[in-house]
Amino acid sequence: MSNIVIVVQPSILPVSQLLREKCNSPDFLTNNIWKIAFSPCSQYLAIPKQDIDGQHCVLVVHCSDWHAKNVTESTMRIHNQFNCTAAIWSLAFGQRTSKSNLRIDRRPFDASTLSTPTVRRGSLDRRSSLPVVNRRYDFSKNLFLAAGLASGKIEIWNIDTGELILVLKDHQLTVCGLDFTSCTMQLASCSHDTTIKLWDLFDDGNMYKTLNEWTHAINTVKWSPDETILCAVGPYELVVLFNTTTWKELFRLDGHLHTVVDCAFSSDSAVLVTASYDTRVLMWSTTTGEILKGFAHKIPKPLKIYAGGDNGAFVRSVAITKSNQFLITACDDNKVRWFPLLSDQSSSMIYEQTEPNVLYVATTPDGNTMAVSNRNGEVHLFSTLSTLSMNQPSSLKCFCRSAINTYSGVKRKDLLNLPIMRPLINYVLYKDI
Amino acid sequence: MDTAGATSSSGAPPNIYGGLEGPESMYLKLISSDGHEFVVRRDFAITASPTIKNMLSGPGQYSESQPNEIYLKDIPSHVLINVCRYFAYKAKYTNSSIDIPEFPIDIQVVIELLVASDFLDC
Repeated sequence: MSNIVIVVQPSILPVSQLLREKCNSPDFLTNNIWKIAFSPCSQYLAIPKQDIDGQHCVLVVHCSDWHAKNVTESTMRIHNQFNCTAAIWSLAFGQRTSKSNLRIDRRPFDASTLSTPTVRRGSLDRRSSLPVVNRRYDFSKNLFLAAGLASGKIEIWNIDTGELILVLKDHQLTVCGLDFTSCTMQLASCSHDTTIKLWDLFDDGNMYKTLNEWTHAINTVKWSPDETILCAVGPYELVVLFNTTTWKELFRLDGHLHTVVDCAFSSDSAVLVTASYDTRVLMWSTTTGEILKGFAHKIPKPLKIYAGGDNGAFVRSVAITKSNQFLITACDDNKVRWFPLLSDQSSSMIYEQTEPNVLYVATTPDGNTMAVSNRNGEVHLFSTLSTLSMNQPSSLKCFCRSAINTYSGVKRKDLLNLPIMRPLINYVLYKDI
Repeated sequence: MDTAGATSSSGAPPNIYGGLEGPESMYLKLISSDGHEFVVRRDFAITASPTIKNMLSGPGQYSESQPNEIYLKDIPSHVLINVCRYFAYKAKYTNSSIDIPEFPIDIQVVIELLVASDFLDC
């Protein structure tokens, strides 16, 4: 293990000033920006705002290079402004991409315990797996933005043409969480009406499953990057993982002491981090369901009575950077913190930055930029490139671990039975940190 | 992956590659369990793998009968070739200012590659 000193110095980007001017222009009211979203191509940023007449809208900002030094009007511009009928609670970008690690590959695997993952839709026995059926909508080409509204509707806009394609109406109350899968355009939505609904956009937005086992709202849903796990988090310390082929519960994870508001998967789907109002971010293994590590935001740790109540340090959102190096969190004590994710030395933060009234943190999929939104209706952009350890390639062991976890797909439990030594199995399961 | 690295000689054609002779040779030979010989740059192998560095410089069980040759009796050739590719990848992208692409690993070898990388500590 090399002891590289990790230096994190996110610097504010020049385009941030331009974005601030646009957001603060007198056309818009100052609103709490609860969620923002970056597109998979990292060039679009969606921000929910409310304009001067009280009309709710989503601003889609396009910037070809967030790190441009000379900022002119053409570097960053408002690409679309979509007007919505009700307050926007959640946003998600979806785009069909073809990813090589989800190809159907039936070559025998040497251990014969892991299997290569199959394309998820192909393994489901639904009408949508037939390619010849005529469809009304074509979701396979452009970039789409889904907005979940307070009325329970989900509006889907085509970013390139700027038109409203589809309105999904099934939830009774506010849709507070949305997530698209990375390749196959399945949408998961969760709502204050205590249900989670799954929509297949390749089948014209057909809702094929409702999960309603709870009597309270669900805050956020997230798909794992290999689409085999769906994570739902909510109040009463709820963290639950579902198997996406059988829709049975894989794990119900216990460990938080307050409402859980946000979650994120690592890029190989082996690690889940959840952020909660109990001032902690917990890191779980999706293979075994154990807690790997906890990241504290209030030191000394609050007593349980405070952790479960009003402690002034609710962690509102969490994001994992590309290649699983860092964890970025936004907390109600007005700080944005960076933690090293896979370091076996410590779980203390390596950088913190004061952002008054910060609400949400989002990172671009290409790992270069971070956006932070706050209650004053502003979004600030930071560069995440100026970190020393990001310029070093990881060790081969790390790559192997990541590859094994990415390829294991549905058969994740078989990782416990690999024909290698026990310390190596623990390494693959991230138990050494 | 035998390179065309000829041993250095005095009648010099324009492309001279460092050779395998002597303690400061530019290349090392890694021999897999099934007899394949892989010639890799010495500095790449030493910076990437502390185990190889110890094998070359340490006394005792790791000292080799032939200099600059390391016989890895547990690592087959289809795994060792990926290890050598990793050495080149790491040497190229250490302290680089461009985006580092992900190192591609084939699903067939990944478990054996994990065992080998644990042994070589790279």
